[in-house]
Amino acid sequence: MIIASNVSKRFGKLKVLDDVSVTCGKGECIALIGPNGCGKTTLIKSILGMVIPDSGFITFNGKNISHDWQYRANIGYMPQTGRYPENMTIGQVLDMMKDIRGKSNEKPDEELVDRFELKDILHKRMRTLSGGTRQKVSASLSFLFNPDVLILDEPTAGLDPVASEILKEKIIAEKVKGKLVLITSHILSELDDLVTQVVFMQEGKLCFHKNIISLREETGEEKLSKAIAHIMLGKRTEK
Amino acid sequence: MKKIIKYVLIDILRNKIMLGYTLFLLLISVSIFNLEDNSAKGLLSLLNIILIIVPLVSLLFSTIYVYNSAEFLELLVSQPLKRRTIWLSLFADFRGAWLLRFLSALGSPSYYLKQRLPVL
Repeated sequence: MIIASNVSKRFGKLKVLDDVSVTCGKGECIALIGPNGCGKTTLIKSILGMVIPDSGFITFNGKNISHDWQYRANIGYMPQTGRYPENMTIGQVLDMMKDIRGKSNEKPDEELVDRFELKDILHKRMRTLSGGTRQKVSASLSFLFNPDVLILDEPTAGLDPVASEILKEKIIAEKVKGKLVLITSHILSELDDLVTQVVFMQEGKLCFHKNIISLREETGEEKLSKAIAHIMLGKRTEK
Repeated sequence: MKKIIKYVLIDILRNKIMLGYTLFLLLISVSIFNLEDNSAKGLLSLLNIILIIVPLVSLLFSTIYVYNSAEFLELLVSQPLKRRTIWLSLFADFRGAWLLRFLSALGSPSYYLKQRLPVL
């Protein structure tokens, strides 16, 4: 569905993405992991067209995304930190998004709005909300329009255990429906039961893109966090 | 496009600084008209304010607003919208909001004055 070929990007002297090529297909749940500042968010932003790569190209459903904007109708994006205009209420933010993206023949998927109990606080202003509640709003917005691709940037950061459990259940349900889910996270233990593939990045380079089952077999570790640690330590001894 | 304009305009109009600024302008215009017996002079002092304060504050406020809503703009960019649409609607919002403030704070006292003094 999404194919990135040889994508490179530099910000001044810093090479953020260095010849990254990834292929993401339907029904996959891909974890993008790597140390801080390794280019995960930049890769996501270039898929969304917010960052324009210096070289290389990205195709979405076979179409090149540069200078295109309509393809984003198929993407639900949850940003790392959601900040909204201060005086807007939750209800207004939801209504605005529905107005922008909603198709008249499809009912928006309000499961998360209901389960996060946002219905009771629709009148609250965005500036009065806590960080966790803002994350809930962002999560609900990204799932609202039944997109084919979900891109979640640190989705569980700041969410309480109950809410992150709800979100995880929703992600699994969408994965089963055959949607592509891209997740970045630093909490590897949370990804264990979600992901089917792992993309590991380091210093702007793509280190590996593997199926989680083969990763487990290779390292002999059941837990994802231990498997990744195993690989990182292995790399260090090679050097 | 209309939708972004509508919701962002509501947000801008509810801003406390904007409300304070409107009251300030209203206070100035009313007091100038009441202090000066010659309303032509009053209009001239008002003109100075219009030429200096109004553009300055609109520039400052708009810059701060766009800067603060960078993350919201990012979210809008990730939606199926053209960037041109996003910027044009923001521009329309600022234009609308400032026009409304200007007319309500400076226009209404002048209109009131005109009714009082048919010479004007």
